[in-house]
Amino acid sequence: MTGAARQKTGAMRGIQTLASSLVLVGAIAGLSLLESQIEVFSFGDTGIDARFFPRIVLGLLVLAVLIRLFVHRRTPDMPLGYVSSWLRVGLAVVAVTLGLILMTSIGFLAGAALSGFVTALAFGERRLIFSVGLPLAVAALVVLGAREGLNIPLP
Amino acid sequence: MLLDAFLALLDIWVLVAAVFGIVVGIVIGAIPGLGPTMAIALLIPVTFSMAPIPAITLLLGVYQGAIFGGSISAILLNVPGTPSSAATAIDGYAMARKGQGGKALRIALYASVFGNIFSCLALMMLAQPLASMALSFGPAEMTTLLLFALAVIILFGGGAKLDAAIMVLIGICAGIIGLDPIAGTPRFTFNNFALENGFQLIPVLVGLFAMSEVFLQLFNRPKASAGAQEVPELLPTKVGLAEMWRMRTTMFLSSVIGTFIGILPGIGSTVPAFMSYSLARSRSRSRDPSSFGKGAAEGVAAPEAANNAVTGGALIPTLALGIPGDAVTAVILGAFMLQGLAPGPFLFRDYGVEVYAIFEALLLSSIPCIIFGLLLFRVAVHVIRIPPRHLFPAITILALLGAFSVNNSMVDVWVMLGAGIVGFLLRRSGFPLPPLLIGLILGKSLEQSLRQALLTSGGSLEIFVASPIAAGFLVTIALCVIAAAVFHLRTRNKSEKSATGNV
Amino acid sequence: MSFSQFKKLTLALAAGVVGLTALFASAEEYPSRPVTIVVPYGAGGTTDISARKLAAMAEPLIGQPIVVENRPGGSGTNAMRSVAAAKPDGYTLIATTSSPLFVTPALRPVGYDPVKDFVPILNYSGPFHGVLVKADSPYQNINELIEGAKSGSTLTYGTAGAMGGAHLAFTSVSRETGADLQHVPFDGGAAATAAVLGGHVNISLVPAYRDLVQDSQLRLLAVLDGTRDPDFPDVPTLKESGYDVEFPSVVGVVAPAGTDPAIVSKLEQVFTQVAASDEYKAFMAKLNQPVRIMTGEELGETIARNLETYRALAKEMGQSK
Repeated sequence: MTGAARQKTGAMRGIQTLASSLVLVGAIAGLSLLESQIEVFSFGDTGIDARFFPRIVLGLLVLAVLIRLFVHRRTPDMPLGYVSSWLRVGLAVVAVTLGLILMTSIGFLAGAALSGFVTALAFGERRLIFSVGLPLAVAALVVLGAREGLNIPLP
Repeated sequence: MLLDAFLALLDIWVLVAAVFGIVVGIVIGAIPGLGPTMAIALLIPVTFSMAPIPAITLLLGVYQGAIFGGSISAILLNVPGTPSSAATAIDGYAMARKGQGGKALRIALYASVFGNIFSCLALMMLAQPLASMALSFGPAEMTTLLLFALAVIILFGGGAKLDAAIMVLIGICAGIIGLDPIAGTPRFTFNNFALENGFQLIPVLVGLFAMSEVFLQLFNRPKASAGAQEVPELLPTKVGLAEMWRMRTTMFLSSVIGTFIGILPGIGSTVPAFMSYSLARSRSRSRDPSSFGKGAAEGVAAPEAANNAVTGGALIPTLALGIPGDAVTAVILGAFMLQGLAPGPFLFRDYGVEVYAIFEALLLSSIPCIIFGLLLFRVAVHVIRIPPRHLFPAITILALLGAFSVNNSMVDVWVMLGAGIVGFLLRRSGFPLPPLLIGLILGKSLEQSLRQALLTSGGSLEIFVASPIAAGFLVTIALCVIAAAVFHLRTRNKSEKSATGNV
Repeated sequence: MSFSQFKKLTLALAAGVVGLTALFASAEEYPSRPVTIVVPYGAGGTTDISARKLAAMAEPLIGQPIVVENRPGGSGTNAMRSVAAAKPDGYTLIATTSSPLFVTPALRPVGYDPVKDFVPILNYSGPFHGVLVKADSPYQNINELIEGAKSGSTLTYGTAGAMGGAHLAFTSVSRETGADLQHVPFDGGAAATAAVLGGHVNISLVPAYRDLVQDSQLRLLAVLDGTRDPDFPDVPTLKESGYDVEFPSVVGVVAPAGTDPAIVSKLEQVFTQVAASDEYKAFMAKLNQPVRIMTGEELGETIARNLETYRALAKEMGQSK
């Protein structure tokens, strides 16, 4: 899908295995929490209760991921990538998270502009007009459009 | 009747309404997260004081415009503006990377118009029989149809089938969170009220596709990024009639799929778009095996024809029975009522002239749609030249807006961010995201229909065989699995098996 | 609607409002800024459209803009929870319906108490829910239907969703009479209507049935409300047919508890005048929605009484927590 990945093959355990394992862990956690997270009230109905479908689907997911891990145990995986790449993404994630946390108190305009500003920085934009001015302008335009045109009560 | 209706159209306001509706629809649809439902709801108060024909023409123009508008951002930015254009992004964006962005947009436009006209004709001529066909789809039939849709997308959607199956299952699992559709009890909400609503489609879409694109671009940013950003050049963009004619079968089949699924309640336009894409892909195997996913024109035409054909199909039960299949048509139903044209069994009898005038306006609005679409493209294609470091901060802000606007709730924005991170990790690992989206869309309906069917039958599985429609779908699914398996073995047995491919 | 119509209405009603505000000194300066009415459902639905019309017509009477804000989700409970927590200053109101007022709160924790956390202003609408069967069904009236379900065969009934008022009402009927009725919830009233039309369930308990009944595609056997549907005056209510249960459908405006009583009564006065006007009635008729006016007090009683009933019912069914 990304196209950018398969340059360096050879690493035995890479990001695919990591992602599959995470999915596996999630699915197993889902199965084990099933009983406590889905309450079933006996309602005189037969075996088709609220746990019926999740149990099947989670079970199938576990099965499918196990098969995938088994099938791909020998195939070369994709490398994890450069640390600096992960850092850039991490920076953007933190920025948006921070923007969201602050949004309820400082408003959509400032929160969104902050997220945009840090994202621009992460992209390597150093000129002030583009890194601060552009996100601010876009956020202002969005706020104006949402309030006046679209009837959306932004925070 | 048709002539009377046509005469009723000779009013400058109808033209103004059609053009205004289409333009507003295209623009709103192009913004990730803002879709037809919101665009129509927004304009309903505007139509309070208008005469019925221009009012409804305006709203339906918005509907069609918004569904098409989503494909502009899908093609140019790889960020689908509406869920239904996620399928268009696959080959559309690939074309844009090759410098054929303008061509892809034109193909999308012509295919959309074709889909619109096709479904509108179906609506005009076959509304009553098709509406009663929709009624014969009960829970059992829906269950098997949904399984069929999933099978088609897993088996023929391209890429590794096992990966697609895993993604579908993840999507279905994500759909479980929230209130149980049958018993109404919370599931996996961890006693948090905010989670009772579950993961809404639009925030997840925006996160998976728009936000993750931002992260992915950040990740892949070349080290030395001084000025040598690769900006795709714009190649000449004419699309000849001959080229569209070459795709006639694809567009026709896609329109049939779109119209048919549109008639059925609650599936929406995303699933038919992907089904048509998968079908076009599998049909082209013999001639053009590897072009799909790398910028095949038919990969743009098929989903666009299908998702626009849904509009006419979805209006059939809405107008003929007064039974809307989804949120958009429910809003349109309200608009018809406000104009005094109560949808239902009496609509065509009591207001035939108005209704046929509206249909004719829909058909004729293809002309302004093409004209304004082409004009808009001249501006839009230049979006692709904006350097990523300017573009993606702006997309981040629009994504925040899009996610918030669905329910006016911050929870959805958090869901969007989470989906963005998950989407980034999955795309980085080479997993296909569209099946995940499909799983999320269909999971809830699948569970609901399955359990409804078992409730009506008292728990007996016989209900799936007793109905000829349901049995037919089950046989088709089996045939698809066999066909895919045979094909798989014949091409070359790579290491994997399509083991769980039947879910 | 045109602006001149607004003006006319303003003139016609101005006198009454001025007289009323004079009575309550504390409410005199209210409202001094725009009032927000939250709608717990999506934009474009009937609840939304009818609330928007109500707001638009009330604007000239209170002299301030009224902003309608949609906050859908959680079958209406999300919006109720946020309004319950809003400042009780009369500037945040909610136009809400039966399900978040007294059905859902009776079944599971929702984070607000519909009686203690809100003060009712008025009820202005509420679609009638009917007991519908297909026109070729053998059951001509509700008693035949119940008898049919008692004599061995299971009858299935579709509703707009899990644990709705209609579901609870029919569960109670089935418990009282011993009729074998199997519930099948759908995603919205429209889907349940389609299911009974297609013969996938035997019965549907849904609103918005008028045209399909008049077209002889469906047959209306009874209404779930406390009163008969004026469109079908010959069709009895469940109570009149001898089943001691009702599902009254309300659409009303409520404010957070603690709102100044003078403000509440001013709002009640204004909204009642709007809702009772011919223009509003004509508008609602187009939407196929009745105008059913109840005072705030009556609405409060309806909410409290039904909340009790549904709690008891839910407990009986082993559903309550």
